[in-house]
Amino acid sequence: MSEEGTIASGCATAEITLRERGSEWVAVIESTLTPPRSAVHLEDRTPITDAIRTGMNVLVLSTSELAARYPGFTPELASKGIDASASIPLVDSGGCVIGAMGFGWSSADVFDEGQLVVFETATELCARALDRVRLYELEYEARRLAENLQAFTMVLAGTESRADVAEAMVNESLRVLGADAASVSMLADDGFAMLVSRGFDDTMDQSQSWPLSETSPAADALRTQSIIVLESQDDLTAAYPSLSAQARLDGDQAWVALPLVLGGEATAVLFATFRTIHSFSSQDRSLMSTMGLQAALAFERARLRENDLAEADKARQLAAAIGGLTAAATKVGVLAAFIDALPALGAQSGTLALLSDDGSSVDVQGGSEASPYLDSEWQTCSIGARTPLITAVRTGESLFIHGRNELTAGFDPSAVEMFSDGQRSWVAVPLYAGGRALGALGLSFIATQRFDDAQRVRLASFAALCANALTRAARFELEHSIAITLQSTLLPKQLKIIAGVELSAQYNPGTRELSVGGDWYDVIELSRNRFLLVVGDVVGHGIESAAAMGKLATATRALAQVVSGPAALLRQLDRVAATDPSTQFASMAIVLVDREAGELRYSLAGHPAPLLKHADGLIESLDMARSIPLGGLVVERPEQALSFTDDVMLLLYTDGLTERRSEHIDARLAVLQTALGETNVGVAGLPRALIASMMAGGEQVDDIAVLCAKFARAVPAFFRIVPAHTRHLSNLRHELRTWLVATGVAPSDCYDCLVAVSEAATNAIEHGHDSDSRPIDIRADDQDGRHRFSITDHGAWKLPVDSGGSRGRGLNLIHLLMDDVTVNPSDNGTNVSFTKRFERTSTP
Amino acid sequence: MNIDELATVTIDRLDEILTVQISGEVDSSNAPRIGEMITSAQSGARACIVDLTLLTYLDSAALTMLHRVAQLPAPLHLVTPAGSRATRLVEIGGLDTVLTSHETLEKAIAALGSA
Repeated sequence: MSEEGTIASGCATAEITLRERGSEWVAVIESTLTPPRSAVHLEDRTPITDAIRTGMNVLVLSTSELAARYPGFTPELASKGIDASASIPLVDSGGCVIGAMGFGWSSADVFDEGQLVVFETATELCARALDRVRLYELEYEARRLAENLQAFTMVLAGTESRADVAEAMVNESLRVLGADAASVSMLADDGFAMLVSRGFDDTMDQSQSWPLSETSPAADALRTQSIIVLESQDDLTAAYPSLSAQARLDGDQAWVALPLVLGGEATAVLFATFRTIHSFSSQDRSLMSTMGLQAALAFERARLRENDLAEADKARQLAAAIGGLTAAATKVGVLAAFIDALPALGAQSGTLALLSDDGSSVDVQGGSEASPYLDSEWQTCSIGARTPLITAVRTGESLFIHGRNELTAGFDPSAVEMFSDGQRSWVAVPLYAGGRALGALGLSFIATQRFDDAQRVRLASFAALCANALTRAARFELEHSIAITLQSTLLPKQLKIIAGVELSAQYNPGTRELSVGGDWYDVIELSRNRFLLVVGDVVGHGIESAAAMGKLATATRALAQVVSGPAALLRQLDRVAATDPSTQFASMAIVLVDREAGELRYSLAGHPAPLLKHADGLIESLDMARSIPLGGLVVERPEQALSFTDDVMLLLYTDGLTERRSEHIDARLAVLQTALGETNVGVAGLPRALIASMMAGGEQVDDIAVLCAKFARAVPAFFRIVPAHTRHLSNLRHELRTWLVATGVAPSDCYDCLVAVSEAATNAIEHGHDSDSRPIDIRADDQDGRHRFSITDHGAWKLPVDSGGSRGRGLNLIHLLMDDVTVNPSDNGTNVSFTKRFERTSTP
Repeated sequence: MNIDELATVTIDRLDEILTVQISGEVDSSNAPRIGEMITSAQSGARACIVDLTLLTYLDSAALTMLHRVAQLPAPLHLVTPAGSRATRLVEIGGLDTVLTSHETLEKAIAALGSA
């Protein structure tokens, strides 16, 4: 502050002394003396303080007068010869004495009334100047307050939560009030809890709370809803003696507790400490109370916003739970949606109980963790039992139980025991759909509930939705089981047994609600060593899809016998699909296997490519002949052929095996190829093993059909026409031996067959008349694990008359070595046939 | 000597014991000829040994031929190694019940020498 001191002439020294604002002290603020005199108390007896106290001029004109009127006051100036003085009060424009001007001179000098006038005039001028300064200061102070408040307002405007508001208050009290530490605590339950603190000892717990009844400035401020200001240790000791020792230890000198009051209610309190003695001016106090009011407004606004957010959160939770209910297709789904809804309904635990089919008992289906009914003796009980849940089912009325007294009064005492002490209120809402009781929902609350209309309506609406969802779930579950039954009747119960082919298939219904039906597989034998492998997938799920799949499977079976090749078959199925919308867009993979030709032909209608595993382990994807799914569009169906000789394994599957939402289809196909390549499981276990491998670490959502076939090129039947001469027998044996080995007979096992065939041929040669040596037919084939041989001549059969002869011995040998030996003589010749079953060394 | 492309027959005579070794295949195409060869070679022999060890094929024609040879004056001994096809067929044809079989040619000669 700059003082415009006016030092009058005509004297040796001059000084301006002002009362300190709000105190009993006066201090020299401007002086020609060096150094200026120190501050004195207003009650001290000095010329200056007399002038200030009385508002009158005090003239002391000599050393003796000074000594007489102010004994004990010996101005140090006297020794310098200045022993006369005039003290003239400074009076401001409002008539208040704000201080005094002192003028000093030597009593040896002449003093007259004229000089006094000069002093008074100078003093008055000085007073006016001080007035101006004071006004300027006030204005400055007011502007500073306004600026601080504006800054505070801005900061508060940026706050969202109550914690934000508290943070802003703490920061602003440090900045604006010059506090050294500050905290904001919020009124909660029976006390107040710390929200934010800064500058206090680190040991202060941020989450500390105190009872409202405690003796402290903060508690008092909250209770009295007025600002508590302590400006010194003495003030503290006077008001809170118990706190004084700690305060001395902390070294704090001043304290402020500012309550946030709005609408007659205190919501929070700001507590600030100062390390220096503070005198809080009226402006300071008005600043603080303005800050308190603003903060209280912001605090309330933040509270409402937090409430809004919490309400919005509840509404969202409820909406999500209702969404869950709408989507739930099973009882388990309804239960899960109910448990999800508990927070939104304000409850801490919930129980779902359903009436048994015969209406005689009520079974708890499940509940949240804290459900009182779970694992209690009341989990299943008769409809007559007196528990809240069963009463609600029986009466169809909602039960709102406010407290334990009502519980004890209204229900079976042993049922009351299961409700823990931590719960204060309970609700049981009946579930009714179409006027029929389904069960009831039970909810427990840890806080005592009023059950206002809004809450009752919310619970009733939720229960109505639950009842609807349960009714729907029952329908879905019925449909699901019908679809599974239908599907299982439509799939081949047992795969056809085809000689020389190992076959295995697996169908797994999806785990998702209603994801059953639509996938199928089939094996259709066309002729010896020719068969079709079929896998298909009808769009959609449920009964309709299972039925559509049945139609397509039947059509495929029927058409397969009259058209040749997969592409032609697909073209015919296109026509089926064109007239039956339920089969439209079905995907299919058809592979024709011709084991004799050693050829595969395949065609894909929008279906995943089958995989072919060669004997050397190489895996080939049959993805050449691809086209769109079945439907009304007339498309060319491509067909691709490839040949094979050794053992090959063919894998057909539906996309349920490879689909996984989170992974790219190519990555999944690579996984499948790896799984197929690495598995050592035989054909019989392969479909299961592949499904297990592909579903590892994930849930099987969709249904899956997998068909595996392992086969090799079939050996054509043996057929020779041999001239009727024994010299051809050796060659015949040679060729037969080669054929037998090709069909998988071990070379060491061939001998008996060679002997038997050779014997029969020898007989045939010998039967024929020498004159007409018509050739002999030798046939052999390998079917259903048995070799058949047939030797036919065209001569008349000569019965074995000579038992010692070679002919009879030969037939004996055939009987001894072979099975099912038959001899069929006819007019045109004789046929000898027999069979033999071999243990194969390798599967052909 | 080669009977045909199927079989080779080697005939030796040692101390009036005729030894016949047949290798290859014997069926109805060559059995009669082999039978005739043995019949003509055995005249005057004290015994006849037919060694079937090297046969890769024989059937009822061979058995018939051996039955015929067995009716000749010189007693017929067979060499049929245990487990061979010849042994099995000889057993099926019941030849083992009327003839003496030996494991090896040496054993057959030794047995006859000591007799």
